[in-house]
Amino acid sequence: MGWTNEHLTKRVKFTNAITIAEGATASTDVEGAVIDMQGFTGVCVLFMVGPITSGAVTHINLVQSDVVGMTNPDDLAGTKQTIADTNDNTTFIIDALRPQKRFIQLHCDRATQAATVVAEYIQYGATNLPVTQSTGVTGVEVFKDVVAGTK
Amino acid sequence: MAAAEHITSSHKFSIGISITDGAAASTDVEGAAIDTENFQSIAMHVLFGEIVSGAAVYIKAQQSADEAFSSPIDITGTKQVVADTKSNEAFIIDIIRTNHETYPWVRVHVDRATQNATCCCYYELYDARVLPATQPATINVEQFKDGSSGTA
Repeated sequence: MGWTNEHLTKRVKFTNAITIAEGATASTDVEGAVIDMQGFTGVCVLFMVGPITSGAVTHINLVQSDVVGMTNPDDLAGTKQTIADTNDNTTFIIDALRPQKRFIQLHCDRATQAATVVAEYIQYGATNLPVTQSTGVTGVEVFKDVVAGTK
Repeated sequence: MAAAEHITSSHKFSIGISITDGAAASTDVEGAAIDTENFQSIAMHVLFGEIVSGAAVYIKAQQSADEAFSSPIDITGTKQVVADTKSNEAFIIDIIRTNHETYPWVRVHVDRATQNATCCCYYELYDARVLPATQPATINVEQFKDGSSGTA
């Protein structure tokens, strides 16, 4: 994983897990998008927390399933992270290498008081390159050996 | 290219614009300054929420010789215009070799005008010179291998 001379966005796939609208202030659970791990070795879930109202009970964990419909999903052992109501504007990451089932989903549990959240999936270790970015990841621009000048 | 190690051991993640800082508004928002020392490259991920019709929005990357960005310099070509129809979409500026020796500090700039737009941003530094990467204090990471089903 040293210097590659290759853009990250050519070898890592990004997918909106929970958009800003989906994770807007509320005290109800929110389920992330379902991603297919076929062709990838690992997935890193980047979970950003905004304002959390005092008393909010919040946690995240990953679930996995053999089917895209996530019928009877299983929790991924050990992935639960509890988010204290003092963790406003911090970030939590679950980095799962070689999950055993093909489909993965982030679960965000919110209760008692409101929390604002956003999340993104980062799938890495691709079998085939370059990767194709997900719908919703609209503007990818790549640069090498940058110079100062007109933006 | 199958990975044998966690991405969080080799990439550094940092908040560029928090959810609070990027809350709905029609004013510009500057991303946090980040030092590219130890990393050759950076991807700036800007995630947009609602963009009100008529909003005039764009993003760009800037560099500086100092953390305070006393004389910010635009990085050539990095401007991306964000249409007011792009609510809940993501935009990425991916830069290899950021001219670290001259301008070690970089940041994202989000230009908002006319109508409100909501956004947040995180930075992903990659191509580290020294491993493993160390995450900032506000980034809480847990790593798992060969994830089996069980109690979360």
